[in-house]
Amino acid sequence: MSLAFESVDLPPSAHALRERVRAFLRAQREAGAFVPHCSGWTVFDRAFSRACGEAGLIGLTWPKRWGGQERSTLERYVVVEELLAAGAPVGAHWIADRQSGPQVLRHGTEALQSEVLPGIVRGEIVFAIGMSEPDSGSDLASVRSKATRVDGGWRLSGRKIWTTGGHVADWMIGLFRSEPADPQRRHAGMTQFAVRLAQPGIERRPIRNLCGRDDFAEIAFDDVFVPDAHVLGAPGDGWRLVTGELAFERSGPERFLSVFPLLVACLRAGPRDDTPAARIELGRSVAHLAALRRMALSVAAKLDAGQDPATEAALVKDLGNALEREIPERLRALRLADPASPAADAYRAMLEDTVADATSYTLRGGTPEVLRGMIARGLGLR
Amino acid sequence: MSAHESMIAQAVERMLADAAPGDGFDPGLWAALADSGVPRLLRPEDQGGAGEAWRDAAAVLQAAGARAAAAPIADTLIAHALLAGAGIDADDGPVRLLVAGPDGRPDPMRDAAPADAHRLVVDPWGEAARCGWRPSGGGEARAFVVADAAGVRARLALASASMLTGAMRTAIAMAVEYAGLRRAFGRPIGQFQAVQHPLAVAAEEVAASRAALDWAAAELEAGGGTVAAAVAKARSADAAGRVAAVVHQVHGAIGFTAEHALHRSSRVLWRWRERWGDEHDWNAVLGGLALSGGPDALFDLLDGRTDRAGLPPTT
Repeated sequence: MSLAFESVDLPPSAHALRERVRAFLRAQREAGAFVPHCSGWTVFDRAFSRACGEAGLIGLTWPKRWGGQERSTLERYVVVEELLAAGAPVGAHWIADRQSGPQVLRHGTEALQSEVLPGIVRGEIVFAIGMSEPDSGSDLASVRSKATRVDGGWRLSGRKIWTTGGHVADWMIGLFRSEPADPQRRHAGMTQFAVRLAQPGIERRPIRNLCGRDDFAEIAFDDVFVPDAHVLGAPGDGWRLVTGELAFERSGPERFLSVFPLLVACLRAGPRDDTPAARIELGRSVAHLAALRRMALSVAAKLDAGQDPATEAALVKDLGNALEREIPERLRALRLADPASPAADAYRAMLEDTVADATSYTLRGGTPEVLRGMIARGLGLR
Repeated sequence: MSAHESMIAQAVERMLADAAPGDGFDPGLWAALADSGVPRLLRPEDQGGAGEAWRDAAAVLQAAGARAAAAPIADTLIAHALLAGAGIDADDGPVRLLVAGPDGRPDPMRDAAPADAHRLVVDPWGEAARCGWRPSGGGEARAFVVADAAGVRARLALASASMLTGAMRTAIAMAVEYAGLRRAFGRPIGQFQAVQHPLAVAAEEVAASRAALDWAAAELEAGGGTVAAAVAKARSADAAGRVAAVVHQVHGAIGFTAEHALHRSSRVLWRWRERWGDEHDWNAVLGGLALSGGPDALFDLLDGRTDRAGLPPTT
């Protein structure tokens, strides 16, 4: 079996960095800037992201010339896990920091880099992911939104959907078909573009989710001009680029820490610790989360070393999502010492919300049905 | 093999591969293991060991689990580690370790050990670990106490997690190979998603167990590791049952026969998830730490830092 997760130690600098993030979060919480929320990385708050930017918590691994700090992926890992564990509202910069910025760094032109990277680092520029379409979800290679060559650039037409933050984002990295579809070469003829979203020809419609929040959106492109400088990589190379982007999208701790704030709220509410069930349930979550964390650290180190851990990332995401869906369900069995306390009320409200929200965990960013196919290929079964 | 390249584990792997498969104790195999210094591995260097070489030990025990070795290697390694701490010498003969559960239930498994093996009884679940040593051949019986019971528990957890992880790796490799060979409906069954997806999930379980084990072995070797070892055993014992179920389902009826080798691995899984604390016991240990630490310490628990209470965190 080729799937290996080498043991990784955090660098010595991680400790001071972690303490810095904790101090920042404590100050923000005390100032009333946020209340902890499950899946904080989908909670959109521009002011909070600007505060993160000021605190130097965005773009940590990027070159200094773009405002980055040239730190390692493992150092960034410490920052993001602390933000997630605290349930901070980091949705406005999450996608840009995690994948769009790195994608621009690796495949964008100098002009595009200077246009967006410093703004991302300041927490001011918000990115969205342009992959899914009304008829293309898991089968991403079937996208039909198209790019047509024109003088000095391209013109984009088509629709993207289920785009997290798409109605409020400033930019999108989108996958478009730049050559006619060829059934013999399904992965050929696609190109990634960075597109400014606030411009004529683009119509955006938020879609309310079942929790009552406008988290995602549908975006229509009607003959939108994109200059050559905003093409990522070489025209036609989009499939290779988008699969590389997915390794960043899938490997992070947000794929298993989404419900961590729920566990914290549960402890705050005070489960009756004279029942073995409470210890066993909480301990099981600790064991599973701790193991996943070691795996995610290993993936981060692979990304640092320039490897492509796409299959390992798929594995961490599938395992982590399954756990995230399981934890709220299993916590329901726990009984609280004082069910009438205010902490108990807060916990129950979070549990109710998370049970519903968890439905999306195995939909966003790649379904188990797709991820398990990737793992099966890694095992040599396909 | 684990990420840690272990020479002694590779040697053990070769010895086990050359040994005749069977359930009974194999004196020839034991003599070879003893010649290579395996029983004394965890004793200090001046006693013929390598000190607390837990990464080597984890690799050796993964090999033992992977080959379903007909020898009480885990029992003997741990026994020598504890005896060395108590200043008791012993020969290289096999040891049968008897560890009751936290509720007093007896050690459920006799690993392949001869009737005249040395015996070490350990009760590790209290503040201090109480041990009773009875060497074979009429040597002097000794009772001793290890003050650091948490350290004893961590060693037991790590050793049993290593056995499980090794066995799981063999089991899934066998199932993947079988799925590629066995044909049904005109093609290898591994081409059906209905077979691929459970195997993928089982591979996730194995990968998680390995990651936890590698972490725990490194932490223990560095002098900490009580949380990490609990995580390793809780995680791998939790995985063992699911992995056994998947690999047997993929093999069909042939895997249920005494003749087919698969049951050698699945028996290791079913036995060793029970030995020295099952997943519920270890989850309860971790849950107890979560409850006593409270909400603000929960994240540090994931990092094993509760371990080093009184010391500044190293990460």
